[in-house]
Amino acid sequence: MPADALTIGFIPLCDAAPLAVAQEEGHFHDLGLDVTLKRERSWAAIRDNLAYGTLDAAHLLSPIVVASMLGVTATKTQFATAIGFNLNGNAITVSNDLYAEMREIDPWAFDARPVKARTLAEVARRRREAGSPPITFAMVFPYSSHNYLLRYWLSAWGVEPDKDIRIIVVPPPDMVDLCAAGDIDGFCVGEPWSTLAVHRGVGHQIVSGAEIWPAAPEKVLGVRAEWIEANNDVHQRLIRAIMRALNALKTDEGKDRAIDYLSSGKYIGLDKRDLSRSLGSAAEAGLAALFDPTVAGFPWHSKAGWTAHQMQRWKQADLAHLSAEGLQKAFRTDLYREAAKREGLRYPLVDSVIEGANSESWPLDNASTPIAMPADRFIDGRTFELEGPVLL
Amino acid sequence: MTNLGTMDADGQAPLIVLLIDSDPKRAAIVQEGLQDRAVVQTANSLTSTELLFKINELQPDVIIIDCDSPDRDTIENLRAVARENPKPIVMFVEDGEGSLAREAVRAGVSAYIVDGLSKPRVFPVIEIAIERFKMVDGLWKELKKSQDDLETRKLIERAKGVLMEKRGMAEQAAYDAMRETSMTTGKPMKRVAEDILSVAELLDKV
Repeated sequence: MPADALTIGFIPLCDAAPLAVAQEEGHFHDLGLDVTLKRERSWAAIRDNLAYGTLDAAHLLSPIVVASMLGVTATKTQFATAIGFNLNGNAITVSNDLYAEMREIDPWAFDARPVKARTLAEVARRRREAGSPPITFAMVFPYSSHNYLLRYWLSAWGVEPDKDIRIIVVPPPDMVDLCAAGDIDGFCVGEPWSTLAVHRGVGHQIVSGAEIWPAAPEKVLGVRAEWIEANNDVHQRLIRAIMRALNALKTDEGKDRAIDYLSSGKYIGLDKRDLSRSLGSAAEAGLAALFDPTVAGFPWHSKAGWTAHQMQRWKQADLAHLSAEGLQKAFRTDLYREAAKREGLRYPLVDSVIEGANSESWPLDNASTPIAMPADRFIDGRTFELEGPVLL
Repeated sequence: MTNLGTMDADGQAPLIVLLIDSDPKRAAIVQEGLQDRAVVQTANSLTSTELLFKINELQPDVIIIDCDSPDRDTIENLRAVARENPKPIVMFVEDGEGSLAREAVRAGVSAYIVDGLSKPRVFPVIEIAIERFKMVDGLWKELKKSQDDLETRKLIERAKGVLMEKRGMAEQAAYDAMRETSMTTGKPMKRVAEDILSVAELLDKV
């Protein structure tokens, strides 16, 4: 039987690792899929090519799926996902100049982790009084965890993102150059681009995304909702290939192999040294993305709901469009479970958990086999619960 | 830069189009196509912040940008920086013209227009841009094909020379032998020629 041909888009980032591993280690091939990976330059290009069928599936920002569910993406296409790639993997980096400004105001600003945003409010005030341009932070897309985590961190200390700071969008590979040129004072980006800034002496990485929320949803395997209907069998095999890749990425050896693949020009094209700080056996805990088929792979409704609430908070979307039916059409926990059963993996029996309730790892008993869940405490100690019955 | 300073037939000021394309040749071709329809300004190799300044300064009605440009993500955020740039900019594909938008994306064009502009004014500009993008794409493919053809012809000539020299075959016989191999094995002529050349090279060494 000939293999089913698929084109999958990705952005050069460490969390494209599941696609690289599935391709290079034959997981797509083993499941009868002939996959062409296509590197894209921008998230807008990924979204449009996926919407108009030039791509069959894509490495996608989880919030883009939420945005399509709430009807606010530019194309009216409904996106869906049945498997995530990772939790976390982002960091906030400030330029050497902003670092010095913060240190001048508070010499101990960087001594305790997590670094508090409070000092930035004072920097913003001083700049306003001096008539200097506002602090400019960059993130990667209006609908991205980077945008929401950056704003969450700022707001936790009373910094008003739309008043005290200017936030602009810059594609990940351009962050380091713009920061070096002094065009931006800081940025929130996925790896390896924070590490590159540190290695090139351009800035200081002061907060990791995991310090803001250690269980933040990040990239997913995105597809068109209507594509699933016509390609259910191919989609199942695609999900299972990603599950196998995520299993490989749970081990140090698997992550080290991923560094080899990603450093090649086909994927990211950077030195292995720039990738190994956030990926592989020697990675720093807070900076590394969590790859695993269960906790990171499951398309949690509670995480999508949190994202939807952030969209409302920052006036991007209206929560009136958030519904249980909408979540089920966009975040296909049913299709996930079907694939997990075939792969012999454990899976949650609930679609949502209370997010942020645990400062330590905890067991989710309402699962086919109990699942060890990571700590998920938000930096401000709040919890998030989707409305409706939540079973724990 | 072209400034016609003319009014449209309906007496409105001409559309201001900002054209962003990293390929200067294509930008020139697209610009030429649009100049009867709009005042075209180009912006290439700007940083994200410079681009935002430029958009703020020009206040374009339409932004035409190649799909692969990383600057697209910057433009996507224009609504978020509405405080600084009060012109609302919407994506062209947003207004439900599915087939035109699909054609645009496939041709490599993306367009952002200011909300509230009438379709009859904007669509011709988008259509011209799509046509021009396709034209450039077609030119590239033609160029690529003629380069490939030339390379294939050179390879075949060299392989023929090898057969004539080493095997004492006549030119036509050498060509016919290659042709027959190509047909019986299903390999293209280029591959057959390459195989002959690599074997000949190997035999020269031993």
